[in-house]
Amino acid sequence: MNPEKFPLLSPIDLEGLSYCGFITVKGQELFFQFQHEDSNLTLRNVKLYGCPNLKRLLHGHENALQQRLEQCTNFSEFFLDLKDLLEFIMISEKPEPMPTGRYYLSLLSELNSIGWEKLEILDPSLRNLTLKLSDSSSRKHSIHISIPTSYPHALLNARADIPSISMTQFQATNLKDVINYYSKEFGNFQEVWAMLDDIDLNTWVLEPDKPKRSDLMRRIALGNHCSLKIEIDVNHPRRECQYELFGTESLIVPLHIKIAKNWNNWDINLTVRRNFENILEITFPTFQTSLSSDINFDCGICYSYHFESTIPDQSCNNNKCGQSFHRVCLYSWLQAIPSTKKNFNTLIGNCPYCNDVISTTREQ
Amino acid sequence: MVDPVSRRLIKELKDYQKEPNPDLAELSPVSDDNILIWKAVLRGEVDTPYEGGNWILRIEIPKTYPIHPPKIKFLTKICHPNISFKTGEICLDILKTAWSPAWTLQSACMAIRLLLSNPEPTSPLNCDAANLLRCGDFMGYESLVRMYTQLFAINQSSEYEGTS
Ligand SMILES: [Zn+2]
Ligand SMILES: [Zn+2]
Repeated sequence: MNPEKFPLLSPIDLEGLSYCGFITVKGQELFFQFQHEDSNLTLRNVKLYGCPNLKRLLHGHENALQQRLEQCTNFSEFFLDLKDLLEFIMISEKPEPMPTGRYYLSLLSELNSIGWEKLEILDPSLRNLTLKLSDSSSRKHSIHISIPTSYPHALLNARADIPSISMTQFQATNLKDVINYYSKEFGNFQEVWAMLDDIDLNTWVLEPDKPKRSDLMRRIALGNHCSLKIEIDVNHPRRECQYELFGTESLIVPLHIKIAKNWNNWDINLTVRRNFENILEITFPTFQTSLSSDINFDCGICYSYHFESTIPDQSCNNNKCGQSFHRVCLYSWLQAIPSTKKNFNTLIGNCPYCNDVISTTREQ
Repeated sequence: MVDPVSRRLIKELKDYQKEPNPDLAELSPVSDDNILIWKAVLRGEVDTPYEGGNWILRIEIPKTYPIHPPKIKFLTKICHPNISFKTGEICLDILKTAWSPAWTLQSACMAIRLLLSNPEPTSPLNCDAANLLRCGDFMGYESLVRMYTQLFAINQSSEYEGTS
């Protein structure tokens, strides 16, 4: 073997399952260790450990590495590939220029002028920071700012979580402008957020799981596996808005009739939630009321809620079904079914309850 | 610590006892020390040739339940195109390939009861019964079934034969 190309390997256990060695790339010696999971000495069941340098170089290239591991038929081939990959990474790596003294000077004076209490996070490189701002209704907002190395000669990039896509990103010459800009933007969305907060507080929101300030959509539980999806109109938050009903036909049709009958009674002095409650002639169940009633949260496979310290956090995406499962339970079910497809760690098959497509991954 | 299979079965037992099912006269483990063997008693549907009959089912539950289906067979003799007269074996898709954890012991028993009035003569385990049906001789078929129901499933002591 050519020592330039192939790493020097030496076994580090008696069974011959673990080896360590060096791989030399562009004059750098990179130390690594690999370990077979069992006595089956193939590339499929190998764990590779690298020195910090090797790890840093391969960071973000895990997929490429995995691909090579899977394609190569023997170790020599794999190490040649690994060496190629490392060379490619080293060449494409360009050191970033360091910020100048002006950079730090400007940053410091600006933080002094806006007030340090507004600083939420400043990363150790001093290149990214997060400012926190409260709006007139005491909602907390974060503004993420990245600073180019050539600052103050280049503009700051700011972004915040607001419902307007075109306004989310903002470029400014200094932090004060960023704050002024977003204070005004946050002010523009007060009514929108008031409507959404009222929904979040008084209903059981099924979707989004953890609503962001930019999310205008809510899917609200109505009980009996039925739900109402609404989207607040960003320009007219109190006005009649888009909606969709999900659930079994027999339960949904009467609701459609109520909407048709009562739609004209929409009152812009009431919140969107109250309007829908009036129109549908119901009170939305909250998460608490649903918990105490007999809505079932147990895993559809083992019939329990707790399973080895996990809860049923996997659920069927079919609105009419929505059955939840433990990851372990769903995984073992999908694994037992011949029609299930496998993609790395993900199993894609059918919900045991409604037959819709459902997928899950093995516990990490 | 109760294992997951037992936990689910205990829950199924509770559910059955909370809401007794008139079509299923009994559904419970045969003995207290083995939760994996159950017994069920099916009641024949009225206005069918099975009316008045009670059939004992033996349910054997695998340790991998509900990923895998329970094994259910008739202990009481029954005449049906899809049930073996000799062994009591049942030909029903949900007990084999179409099984899913959404089924329970109770709903599986009810599916078997439904099979009684909806025979599938194309996959017979009992050729005599299936042949009568295939010839369109419903009178003959019904008489045959009624006779066996009277003979084995009516007024018989529902003693459990604990052998497998
Ligand atoms: Zn489970
Ligand atoms: Zn489903």
